[in-house]
Amino acid sequence: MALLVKNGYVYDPLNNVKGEIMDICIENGKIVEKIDEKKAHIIDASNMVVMPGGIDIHTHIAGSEVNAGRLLRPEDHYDDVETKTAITRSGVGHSVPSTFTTGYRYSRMGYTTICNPSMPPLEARHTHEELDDTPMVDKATFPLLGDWWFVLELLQKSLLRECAIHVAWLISATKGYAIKLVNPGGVESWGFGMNVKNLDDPVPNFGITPREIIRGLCKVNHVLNLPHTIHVHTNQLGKPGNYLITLETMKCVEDLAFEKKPSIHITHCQFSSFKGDDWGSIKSGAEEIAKYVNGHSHVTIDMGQVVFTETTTMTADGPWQYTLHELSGNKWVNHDVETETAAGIVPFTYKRKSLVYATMWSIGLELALLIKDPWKVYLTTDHPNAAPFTTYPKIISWLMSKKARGVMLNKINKKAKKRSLLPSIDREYDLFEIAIITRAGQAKALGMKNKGHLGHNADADIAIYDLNPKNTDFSKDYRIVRRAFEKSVFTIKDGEIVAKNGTIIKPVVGRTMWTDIETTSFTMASSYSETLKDLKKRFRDYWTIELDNYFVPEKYLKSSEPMPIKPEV
Amino acid sequence: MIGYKMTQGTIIIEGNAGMRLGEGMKGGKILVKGNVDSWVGCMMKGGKIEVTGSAGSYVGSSHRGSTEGMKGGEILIHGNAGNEIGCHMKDGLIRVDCCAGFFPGIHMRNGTIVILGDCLGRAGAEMVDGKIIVCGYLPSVLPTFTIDSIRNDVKVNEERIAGPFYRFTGDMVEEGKGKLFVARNKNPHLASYEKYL
Ligand SMILES: [Zn+2]
Repeated sequence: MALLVKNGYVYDPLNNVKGEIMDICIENGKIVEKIDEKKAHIIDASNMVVMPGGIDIHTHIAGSEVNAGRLLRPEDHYDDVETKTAITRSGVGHSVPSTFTTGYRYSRMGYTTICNPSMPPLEARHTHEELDDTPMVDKATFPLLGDWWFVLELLQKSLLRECAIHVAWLISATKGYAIKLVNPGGVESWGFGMNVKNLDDPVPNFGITPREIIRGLCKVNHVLNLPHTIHVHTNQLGKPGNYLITLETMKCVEDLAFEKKPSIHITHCQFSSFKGDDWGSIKSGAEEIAKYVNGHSHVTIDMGQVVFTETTTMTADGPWQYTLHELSGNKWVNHDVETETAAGIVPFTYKRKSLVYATMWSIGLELALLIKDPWKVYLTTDHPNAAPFTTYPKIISWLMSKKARGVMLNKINKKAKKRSLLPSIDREYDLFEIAIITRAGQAKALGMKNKGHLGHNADADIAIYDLNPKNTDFSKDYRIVRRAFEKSVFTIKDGEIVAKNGTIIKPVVGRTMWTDIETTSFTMASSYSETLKDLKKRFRDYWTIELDNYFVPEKYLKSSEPMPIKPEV
Repeated sequence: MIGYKMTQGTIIIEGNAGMRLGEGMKGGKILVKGNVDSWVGCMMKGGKIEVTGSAGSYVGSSHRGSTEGMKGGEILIHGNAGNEIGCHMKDGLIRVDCCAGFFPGIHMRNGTIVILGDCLGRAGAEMVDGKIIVCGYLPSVLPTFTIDSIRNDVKVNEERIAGPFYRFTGDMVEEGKGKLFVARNKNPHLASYEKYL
């Protein structure tokens, strides 16, 4: 079917369209130059904003960890239920929604692509089963590799090429998209009740340091020519004073940037930008982080913005989750994923009147406002760690309005308000910049060429919001902004209207994107059969499942979209 | 969910009621002339619930998974009550005129539970603070409770309940200072505790 979106104010940053009134033509799920107007279904978007569909680079929505979070927290779902309709399924919501509800809620906000950022390789099958059941959006998932035994061992021996072969194999075995590192080295150390304290603190038994892991996987990422950079959750995350190790982490791959392209993505950077010696003296390190990011082209970050609400924290960072459990006294889950990684889950409430949480709230916004180039910073809450993804419209209103920030500043902990840099920041995002941090920038960072823009041949994923840039003062009427982004007027996925005024009108499955690394250069090598034999033996010795059961075949995915990649070797 | 989050007024039910009666209520009164199912007054903050018959389990408790039990108000059950009444209770009063099941006052933080009849057992497991009074037979006291005295009576709001009672403190697992009162006359098998006084 052909669609014609007429007369909207179009914001398409990748094609440098800044709110011009334009028509968008859609045919066969793609954006085209021209269509026959008589045959097309016409959407009148006058006085509305048209953007590419939203993209979320980091949101925990599927897999064993998320599911354990659902199990741990029946009370989280109690007051937030989705009722069944003729075309949609029932489900439960709040901080760890059920799979179908997750898809519906993203779609209602105009999102069309989301990335599940931490998948223990061993749990890939489970993760894909849940991704298959997350409708309305396209999905990608990042396997956790920073503490995978093969990576630790091969990098320790400086066998970069061998490591790249193993990583390529793992990505295709798990149908992953990018390389994820969580507290590199620290998660393995946690298996022995320890953690790594700095980039040069060796991991027990392996002797390798976090610096070597980060640099090694950054090189592997380049060798394999993966579409995204390494996606890093830093060491010492969530600890006062950790902004220093974050700066070190960014510096340590400075020389590994090629053609001024990014070489590292620091995820939920808010949690990694704390100054101070302890919780009492906690302060924002956003200024230092922003200064570094402004001065370098090899780093991108996402916010990990805190919103004051009750939520559930979940990461592969076992030691950090233990700290959270100790801090909050709340129930928790901690899990060691054999030879690969770990996980922890703790329910959490961010209170406005707490110095620490109010400071964290401020840090996220400071980062987004102090980093000058919106192409380097993306809107996330590290869902559900700092807040559920349904709070994005609120965050957009804070970014677009100093007044909205002021209202919240008056409600937070007094000491935190005094220490906050926000009163000194006048910057307010415009819609073009919002389109960058919520879709275009994320598509660019992820290397998704058909996403995040409305140019010829792009996937016809579009969001239309009830917002008139000509007669709305976003700074003053921030509530209008928030309401507009809560419910899209239309969400179009692959050229079909799937949601209208916040109601799902057509359920679609959504594809799972994964990087299909062309490995003939590896498999042709004489050493490859040795590698395979070794893999098999290792699985027999150290994993609870056999190699053959580990591999997720393509046909296992409901709707597979391989992205062919040619490695550089 | 009759009386869900009600703030004032009166509801009278002639007959039995289902689950979650008066959930989260803040004020007003509910009178049930019959029996009620589980989770009566769960997460209630104020007001009064009176049941002439019996109640299911989790009277005045939290939702499953939550630690937010009853925070105030009164629940009076004239018949029996099920298991885990007052789970995660933080304040208020639960009174059961007949018998109660296992684990009354589990995870309790404060408030008062009065059981005029017998209790199946394990009273006060993991309680941190608050008062549980068992006027009937209790098969045994958890090993993580220690006896501290014998009391002639216990004060509940303005009322005095006549004893004598063995008074235990616990649950030591939670380093709790909750008080468990068990009627001396109905529980001769607990007399061996007296040598520790
Ligand atoms: Zn995360």
